[in-house]
Amino acid sequence: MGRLTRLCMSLILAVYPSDFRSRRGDELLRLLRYDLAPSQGGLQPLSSLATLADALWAGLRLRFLPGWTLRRPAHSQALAPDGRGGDSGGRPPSVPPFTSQPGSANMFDQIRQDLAYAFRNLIRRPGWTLAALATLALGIGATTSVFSLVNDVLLRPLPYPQAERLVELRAYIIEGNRLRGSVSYPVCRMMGEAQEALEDFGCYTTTTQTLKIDQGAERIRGGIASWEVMEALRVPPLKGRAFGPEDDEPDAQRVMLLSFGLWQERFGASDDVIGQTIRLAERPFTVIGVMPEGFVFPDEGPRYWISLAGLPRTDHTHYLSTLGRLKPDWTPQRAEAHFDALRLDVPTGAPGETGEIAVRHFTLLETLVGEVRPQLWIFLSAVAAVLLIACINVANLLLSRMAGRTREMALRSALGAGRRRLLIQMLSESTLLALLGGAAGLVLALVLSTTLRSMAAAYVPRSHLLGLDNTALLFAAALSLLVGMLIGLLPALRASRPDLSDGLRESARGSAGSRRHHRLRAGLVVAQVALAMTLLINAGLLVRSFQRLASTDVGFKTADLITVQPALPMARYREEAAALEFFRQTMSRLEVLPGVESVALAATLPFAGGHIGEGIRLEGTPAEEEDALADVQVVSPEFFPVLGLSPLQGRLLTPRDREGTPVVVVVNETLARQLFPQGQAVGQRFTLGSYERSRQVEIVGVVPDTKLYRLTREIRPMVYESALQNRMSLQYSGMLLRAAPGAASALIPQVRETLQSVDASVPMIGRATVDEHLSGRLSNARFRTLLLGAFGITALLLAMIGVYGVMAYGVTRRIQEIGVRMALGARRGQILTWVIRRGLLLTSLGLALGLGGALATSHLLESYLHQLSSHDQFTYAAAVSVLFLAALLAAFLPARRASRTDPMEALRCE
Amino acid sequence: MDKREDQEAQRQPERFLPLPQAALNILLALLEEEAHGLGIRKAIEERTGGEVRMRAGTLYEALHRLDRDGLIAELEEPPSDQATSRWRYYRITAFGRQVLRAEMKRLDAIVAYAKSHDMAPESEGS
Repeated sequence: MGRLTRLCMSLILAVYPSDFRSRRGDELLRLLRYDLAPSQGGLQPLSSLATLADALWAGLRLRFLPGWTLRRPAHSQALAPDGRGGDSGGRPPSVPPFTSQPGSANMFDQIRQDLAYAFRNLIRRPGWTLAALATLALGIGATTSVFSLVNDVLLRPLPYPQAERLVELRAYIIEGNRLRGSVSYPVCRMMGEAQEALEDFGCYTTTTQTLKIDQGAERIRGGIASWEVMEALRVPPLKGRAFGPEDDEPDAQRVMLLSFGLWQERFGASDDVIGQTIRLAERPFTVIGVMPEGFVFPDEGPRYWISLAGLPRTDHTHYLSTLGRLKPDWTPQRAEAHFDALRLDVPTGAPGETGEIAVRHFTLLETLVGEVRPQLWIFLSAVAAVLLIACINVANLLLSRMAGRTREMALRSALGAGRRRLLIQMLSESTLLALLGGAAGLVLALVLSTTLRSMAAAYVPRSHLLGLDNTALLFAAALSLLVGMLIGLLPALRASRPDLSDGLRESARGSAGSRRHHRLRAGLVVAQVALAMTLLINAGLLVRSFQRLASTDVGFKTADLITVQPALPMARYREEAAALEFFRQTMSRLEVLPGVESVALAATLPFAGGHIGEGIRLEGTPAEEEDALADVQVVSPEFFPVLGLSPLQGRLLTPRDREGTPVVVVVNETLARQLFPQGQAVGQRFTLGSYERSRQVEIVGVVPDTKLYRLTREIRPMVYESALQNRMSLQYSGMLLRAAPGAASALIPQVRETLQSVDASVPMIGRATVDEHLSGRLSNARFRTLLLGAFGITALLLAMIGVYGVMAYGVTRRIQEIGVRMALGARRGQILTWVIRRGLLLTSLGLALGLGGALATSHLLESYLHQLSSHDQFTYAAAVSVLFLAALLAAFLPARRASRTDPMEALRCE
Repeated sequence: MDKREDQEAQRQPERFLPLPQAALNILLALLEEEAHGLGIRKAIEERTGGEVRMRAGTLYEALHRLDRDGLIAELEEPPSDQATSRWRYYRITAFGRQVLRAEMKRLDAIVAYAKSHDMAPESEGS
């Protein structure tokens, strides 16, 4: 049974009176557990929910309706000391003992009485109560689920002692004004030597390698970390030892730490694992320790950690993150000043890492969640707006009911109930309502947050760890209380100073007090429409941006393209010739599979992540300068037919462009246009790459532009080299298959088999088709759009219910006036327009305010908008029209009712 | 115990009519034998052919009220053949029987009235 179910049960039990709890609480819980057990069909959520709701309902009845039909409620007995009471048939009277003076009764008694009275009031109007509860449950449930996500991802501390003192340093390239996400090993060491504020400063990265245990081979994610980093985390291993300085020596024995989970699953939690040798990426690693349960680093993915031994040290590629712990005597402020003043001079680093480097610092938490942080805050603000709209609806519901109870209030006031007493009475009603709504909202939040997390898991770090936890439950409880106060305050203030004479006459329709009352409700509706407008526009911007993104022209047909990314074990395929042989064999076997039209080799598969970027130097440009930065794609000649690209100028690559012949390349239109604006790109030569990798190439053809990496990325100059001439990335290359239309999904298993038949030790990784990769690329934007879109639509609906409610109430209130007007000759059409005009006036005010709100907030979304201005006129106009039309409908229904009023009836209804 | 019986004597069974459905079902179930909460529910399910299945909250609310008002009583200890049971066992009290009888009388009157207006339940096969 889930933790939440158990918590729900304890919360429900708390509702029961104490004598019940002490005598039967245990048994009730036992029976509930029995009923909710899976064997009893407890896994069916609806039936479980009904069981829990029934238990809550029974508890409320026991607490607040002690009478039932079996006995009179306490205060009724007090009225009739003989215990028989009047002849009210055992039903509680509808007016509570309002004359009790403060101090004369126990305060808790009074609260209990107020709650009992409120409860009876609520169940007496089930329709009204359900509408209010549903609205509140929606608002509180949605807010709680988004909050729990925000709490887990942003607020919950990382699982290391004093995690806020863990700091990452990044390189900020002063020339070029660029912040690098990662650094090379030499730069990491330079940083470590130059800074003074951090201890245990080292570097780490993550990797995915093939792990061999017994017969099986599996791709498993792991971490690579220097011994200092593991030290800085301050989490000692559960078994064995941690990394030491000697483990990071380049020629040291390779060692490995296991995660608790991997140790349990693959090694049966055996103590003998220490000292065992495991083959990772075809190399032997010695297990030296096991990390404790719950240890994660840097995120939840890695299941083992290896030291830096054997890692290239002078490599000019930047792929490492840094981490250190603030020294105990350094305050964050002092460290900040120190880092800001720090300058490194890197004479010859990796491309884009050379020159003067400044240092930027981030806490580890910022590093991990940096990208999603603003998004999550936007979600939370949006859902808070929805909650506010829901609150206004319920406040309006309370106000309209209050209007129907003017007489009751006036009567009670006349009989001596003080203002404070009335206020508390009203507030206890709204609070009870909000708490019940919150309880229902919690159930909704449980469902919503499961959905939310499964959608977010792909790209929000730390999001798949927990469900609703105690913090979320506390939040929901506090939020319910707050909402109760919020929705109850206005009606309570209003009700607590009833106009005695007006109220008792109960014909206060035209009085000043009533008009003021109506103005208040109208004001609330304006605020509601404004909030909905703001949300709707922002959601609309995301929807429109997503549409554009999803319909981006990538320049080739993505359907029926299968991607095959083998993971070649470096130890066996160190020689490029071996890799080339592997691909040759595999491709020749794939080609003959029925349903395969053609097969090509590509260094980077479309949208699979990762790309190669190298500098271009034209003839005559000095060695340390670059004319352009180009994406480099190393392909086999079949690549162009597979994608369906034909040359605009010159020719494509052919099998004759091989080792020993001049190095030739095909470029895209953008490169041709940028570097050779005169138009004659074919035949031009330039230098590609830098240092030992630089090579002279000649352009033999120009092909149309394509998007191969990210949809949002603008098209850059692109160079296609032949895999027969540039073998540097062969080991990491993949294959691209053009399948016959519709044949792709059936082919995938055969493709895997073929791969295994060439070399059984080579697993295939990643998604299987280009369309799947593309869909993966869109998942973040899709999630964001869906979520804000759902908030926008909910806001729209709630606001329209608000408009409808206030208009319908207005018509009822003025039914006599309408009757008089009709009696005096007003036509139905005139009445219709009169009411609608008033509804649209309110809406227009709200729209105007909402437009302002949208203009003020939409810039927050700017970084998520793809080729769309945050002031996109179409979106604004569309949102305004939608809201306006919806408001027209919401006002039309009451207006039609008004226009069908029978004047005689209306005048008679006194 | 004595005090409660005293109270019972003073009570008029009619004051508890009409019996709510849950209370009626529980009292009927206890006519057969003493039982615990789960057992009562099972007995009711069997008697009604599975048509009435009380949820835990409803069941315990009714048990609590019936016990409090003396229509049923808790056994001091489980019946001898169930000595190890961890559940509380209930029996119907004399007052409970009185109330049940009064309820039957009330229902009888209703049935008689309905019959006299041609609303006799159809016998099977006719």
